[in-house]
Amino acid sequence: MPMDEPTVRRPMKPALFALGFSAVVTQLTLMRELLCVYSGNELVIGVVLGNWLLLTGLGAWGGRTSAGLRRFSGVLDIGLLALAVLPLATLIAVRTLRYRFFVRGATVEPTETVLSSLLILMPYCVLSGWLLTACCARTAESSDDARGLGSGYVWDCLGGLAGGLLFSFVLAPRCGHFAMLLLPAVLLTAWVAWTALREGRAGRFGAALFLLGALLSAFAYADPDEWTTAREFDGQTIVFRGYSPYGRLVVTERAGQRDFIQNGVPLFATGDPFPKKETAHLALLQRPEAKRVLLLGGGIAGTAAEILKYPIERLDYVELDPLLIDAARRSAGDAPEARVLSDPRLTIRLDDARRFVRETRERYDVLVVDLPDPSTAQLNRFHTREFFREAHAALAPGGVFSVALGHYENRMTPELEPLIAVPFRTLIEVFDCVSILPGAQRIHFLASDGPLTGDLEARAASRPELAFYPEYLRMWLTRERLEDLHLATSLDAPLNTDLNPRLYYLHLRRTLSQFQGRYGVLLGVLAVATTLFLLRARAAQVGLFAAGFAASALNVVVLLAFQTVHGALYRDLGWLTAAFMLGLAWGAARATRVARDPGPSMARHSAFLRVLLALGVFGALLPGALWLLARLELPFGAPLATCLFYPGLIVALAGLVGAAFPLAACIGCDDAAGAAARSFFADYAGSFLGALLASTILIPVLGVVQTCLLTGLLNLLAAGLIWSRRG
Amino acid sequence: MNADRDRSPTRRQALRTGLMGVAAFLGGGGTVYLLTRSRSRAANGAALAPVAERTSCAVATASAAPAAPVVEAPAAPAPSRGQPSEFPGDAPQGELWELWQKRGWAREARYVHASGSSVLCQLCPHECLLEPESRGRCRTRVNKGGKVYTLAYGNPCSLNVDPIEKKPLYHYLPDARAFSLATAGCQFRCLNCQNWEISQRRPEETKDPRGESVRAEAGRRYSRGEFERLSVFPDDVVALAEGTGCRTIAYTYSEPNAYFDYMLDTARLARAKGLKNLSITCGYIREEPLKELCRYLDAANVNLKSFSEKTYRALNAGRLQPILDTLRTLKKHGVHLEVTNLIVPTYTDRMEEIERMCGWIVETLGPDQVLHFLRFRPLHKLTHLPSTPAQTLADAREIARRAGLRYVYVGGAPEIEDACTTFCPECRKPILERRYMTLTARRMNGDRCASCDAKIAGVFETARNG
Repeated sequence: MPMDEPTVRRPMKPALFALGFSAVVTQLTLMRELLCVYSGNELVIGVVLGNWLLLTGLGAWGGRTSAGLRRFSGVLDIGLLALAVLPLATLIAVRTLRYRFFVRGATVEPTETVLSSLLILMPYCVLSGWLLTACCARTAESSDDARGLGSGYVWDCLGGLAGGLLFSFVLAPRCGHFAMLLLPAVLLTAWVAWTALREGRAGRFGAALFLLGALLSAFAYADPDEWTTAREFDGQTIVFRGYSPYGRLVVTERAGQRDFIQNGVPLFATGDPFPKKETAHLALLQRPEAKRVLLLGGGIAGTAAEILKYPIERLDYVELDPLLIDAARRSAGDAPEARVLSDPRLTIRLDDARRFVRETRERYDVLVVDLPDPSTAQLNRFHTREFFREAHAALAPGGVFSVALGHYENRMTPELEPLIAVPFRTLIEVFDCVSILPGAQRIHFLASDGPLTGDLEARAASRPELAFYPEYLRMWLTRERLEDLHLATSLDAPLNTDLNPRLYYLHLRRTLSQFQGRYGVLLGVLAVATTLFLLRARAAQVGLFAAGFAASALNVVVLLAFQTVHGALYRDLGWLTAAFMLGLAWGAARATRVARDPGPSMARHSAFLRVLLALGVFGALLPGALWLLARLELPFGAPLATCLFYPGLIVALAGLVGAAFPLAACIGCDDAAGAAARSFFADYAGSFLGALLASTILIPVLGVVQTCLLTGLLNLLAAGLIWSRRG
Repeated sequence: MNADRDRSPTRRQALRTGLMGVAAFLGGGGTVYLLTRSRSRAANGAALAPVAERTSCAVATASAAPAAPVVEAPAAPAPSRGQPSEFPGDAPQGELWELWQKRGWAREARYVHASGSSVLCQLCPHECLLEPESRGRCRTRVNKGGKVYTLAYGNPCSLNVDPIEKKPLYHYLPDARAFSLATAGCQFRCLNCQNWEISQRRPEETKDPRGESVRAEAGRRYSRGEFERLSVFPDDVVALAEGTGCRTIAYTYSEPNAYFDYMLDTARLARAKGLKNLSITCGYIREEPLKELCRYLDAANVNLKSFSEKTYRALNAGRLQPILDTLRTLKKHGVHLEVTNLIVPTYTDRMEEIERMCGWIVETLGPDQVLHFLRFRPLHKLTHLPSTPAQTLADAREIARRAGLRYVYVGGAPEIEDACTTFCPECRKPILERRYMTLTARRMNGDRCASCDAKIAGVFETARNG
C-alpha cells in the first residue's frame, strides 16, 4: 500500500520514543491518582493496569486502519497533541467529576471501579495504542514486510525506559501529579512544533506553539492542583497538600479538627485520641514497667502520645513517609499529636517498618504494630510468619508483641472467623502465648513468650492519668466476647506467609462481601472473549499472548516479592518499570536482528520457540529464586542486593518477553500494519489478563508458587503449539 | 459546603444513570441500589430537587412561627403503591425452603395485602409489591405461592447481654441489662452501617437449617457452626432473658422491623412475664403495624439519621417523613422514646439543619425528649469521610439546649466534658454520671433529683438486674 511522501520522510523513531515516554509517565501518574479515588489495593492496581493494557491493545488493534491513510503526518500530529492534553484533562476529570457520579465519601464499588476506570482511561489508551501500531508499521522497511517491526518496538520501550527513570528520580520526589504530566505534554507539543517547522506546516506549527503556551501559562498563573483538590474535598478547608514518594497527603480542617488524608483515605484526626488508646494501652498495660518500646506506624496519629504516658526510657517510632511528620509539624498546631514530636524520649525512624525490625540490634520490651488492616499485600507483610519471627527476634526476653486487625461488633461471621483464626495460628507458631482482645475499635492480638495477664482492669484503674478507664474494659472485654473470639481460634486455619498471603485474600473476601457484584458474570465474559480470541488467533499470536501473560503475571510476582523484602513499592515502581522497559528494549533489539535475517523462516520459528520455553522455565524456577533471595545474606548488604537482584529478575523476564515480539510479528507476516496490530493486540491482551488475574485471583487464592507454575505451563503449551506448526 | 446546594440534577442523573446502567449489566448490589434510587426518583414524579426546596422553605417558615409543626408541610410525596421487588425470584427454593419451614423459621407474615399472585407488603413505607418467588427490600419477606412469609422467625443471628446504656437508652431503667437480639435484614441501605454484616444479609446467609437442631441455653456460648443451627423461639427468648437476669429485651443491632412478626410475638410473651420490651430502630414502619407493636413496647430509641429528605436518600435509601410519623405515633402511645442523631461530616453537620431538627423535636415531642448526638466514624462503605469533630458535637449539643431540650447527650466522644451526664433541669446538678456506656454515679430518689426533688423525665424505677 503506498504511503504519502511526507510520512516516509518523517522519522518515526523519535515519535515512538515520545509515545513510550508519555505512556509510562502518564500510566504511573494516573495509577497513583486512581489509587486515591478507589482507595486502592493490589486488586485495584490489577484492575486499572489491566484496563490500561486492554484499552491500549484495542487501540493497537484499530491501528491497522492507519495503513490506508494518505495524510498520516497530519493525523499523527493531531494525535500527539491530543496525547499531550488528554492526561491532564483526565486528571482534572478524575478529581472534579468523582462526586458527580459517586456518593460523596463512599467507597467506589468493584464493578463501578472496573467500568469507570475503563471509561476514564479510554481516550488516552485507545489513541496511544492506535498511534503505536501506526508509527511502528512505518518503521518497517516496507509496508508489506513486518520483519523490521521490532525496531519500532525498541524505540517505544526506550521512551518508556526514559520515562520510568525520569519519573522515579526526578518527577516523583519533587513534583505533584499535574507537574508530572506537564513534562510529557511539553515534550509532545515541542516535538510536533519542531517537525511542523521542519516540514513547513505553518498551521500545525502555530497550533502546537499555542498549545505549548497555553499549558505553560496555565501552570505559571494558576495552580490546577489547588483548585482541583479544593473540589475534591468539597466542604473542608485545605490546610496542607503535598506529594511524597509514598503517596499524596492532604490535611483538611473542619470545626477545629485537622484530618490527615493519605491517598484519599482518612488516616487520623487531631483531637480524637479515643481510637488510639486501646492500641497503646492494651499492649503497654501488659508491661507497664517497660523501658524500651518500638512503635510501627500510628505514632503521629496519637499512639505515641498515649505510650509516652508511661515512664519509659525510649520510644522508637518507625514511619515510612517523612511528609506525614512534616505535615503534622506544620499543620497540626498545638494538638497533642504534634506536641509529642518534641518529647526527648521519642526517636523517629524514617524507614520501612519491616526492614527496620529485621535490621535493628535493639531489643524492645514492647513492640506495637499500629498499621491498617492487611487490605493490601504491602500491609499483609506485617501479619506473616516471617515477620512475626523477625519481631520475636527484636523483643527482649518476655517482651510483648501487639498487632491488630478487623473489628468484632456482636456476631461471628464466616468472613470474620478466619481473620481471627489465621493470625492466631500464625502467631502461636512463633510465640508461646497469644491473647485476643475484642476492643471497641479493632481486634488486638497480644503475643509473648512471657506471661500475659487477663487482669487489665485493675492495672488501668491504678493509672488514672491514662484516662483509659476500667469501664471501657468492662464494656468491651466481656466474658462473652472473649469466648466468641476464643471459639473462632478453634477453626482449622492455614498459616499466613510471605509467599502465601492468605490473610490478604481473606480480608479481600470480607471487603468484597459488602458489595454484591456479579464477579462470575465478569469472569464469564472474559473467559468467552479469551477463548474466541485464542481460537481465531494465529499460532504466533497465541505465543505472544502467553508471553504477554507471563510479562504481567510474573512481573506482579516479582514486584510483590520485592515489596515484601524492601517495602514501599509505591516509591520504587517508577524505576522498576524502567527496568522492565530496559529488558523489553534489550530483548527486542537482539531479536530484531534475528527477525531481519533474510534466512529461512525456520530460524525465526525456533528462536520464538526457545523464547517461550525459556519463559516456561522462568516461571517454574521463579518461586525458588525468590525464596532464596529473601534468605540470602550478602556481604555487601541487603539493600544493594535488592537493588541488583530484583531488577535483574525483571530485566531477564522483560528481555524474554521483548524478544518474543519481533519474532512473532514476522512469523507468517503479510502487511506491516496488520502484523503490528495483531501482535500488539495479542501482547496487550495477554498482559491485561495476566495483570488482572494474577492480582485479583491467582496470587490471593492460589498463592505465588502456583501462579508462577501456571504461567510457566501456559508458555510451555504455547511453545508446544508453535512447535506443532513449525515449517 | 452545602450538600443540598443547587446542582443540575437532570444532567447528573442522566450521566450517572447511564454509567450505572452499564454497571448493572455486570454488577448488582450498590449498583442496583443506585438504580433503584434513580427509579424511585422518577416514580415519585415531580423529581426530588423541588421537594427538597419545599422542605427548606417550609421549615424556615415554621421556625419563624413555632406553633406550626415544622415538617408537616414538606411531606415528601408518597411513593406509588407497590414498589417492584429489589430481589425478584430470590425466594428460597427446594430443600432449603423445606428445611427452613421444618425448623419453624418461616411464618406467614402480618400486614400484607394479596392481589392475585402478587402481594403488597404493608409493613414498612417501601410497600414492596412482591411477585411470586420474589423478596422484599428488607430481605426477610418472600412471596411463596401467593402468601408472604417472613424468613426471620426464631432464628436470631446475634444474641448478647448489653447494658441498656449501650442502646443508647439513658432515661429508661438506668444500669439495667438488656437481653439483645437480632436477625438478618433491614429496610435501609445505610452506607455507614456498623452492623452491615447482619443488616445487609439475607437470613439464609446467617443461619443454616441443615444438620442437628441446637437448643438455646442460658449462659452458654456457641461456635459459629452451632449458632447457625440455633433456634430461639419467642418463649425461648423470654426464658433466656430471665435466665441471664435481664428485665428487658432489646430488639436491636440490625433492624427490628425487618423481623416484625418475631419481635411482636416475643414482645407479647415478654409483657405477660413482666419483662420490658425495647426497640432500637430506624423507625421505618407504617402506622398500623406500629400501633399494634406499641401495645407491647415499653421503650424505643429511634435513629433520626438526618433532617433532610435528600440525605436520607443519599446515605440510607429511605425517606424522612415516615420516621417523623413514627416518632409522633410512639409519643402518642406513651412509649418511652429517645432519639439518636448521627452527625456525618459534610452531610448532617450543618448547624441550621440541626437547629431545625431540634426545633421540630421541641415542638412535636416536647422539651423533655431525650436526644443523643453520635460521632460518625468511617465504616462500611462510607470510608472516605473523616470522623466528626468534637467541636461540631459540642456545638450541636449547645444548639439543642438552646432550642429548649433538657436532656442532650453526645456519644462516642469521651473527650467532651459531661458528654453522657444527666443534669437536673431545675438545679443543674449532675444526677446520673456515665462513662463508656456505664452508669458510674446516681444521685436520684426514684425519678426525682436527690438535691431539689425535681421530677426527671423517664422511667427510673430501681432496676438492678437479677
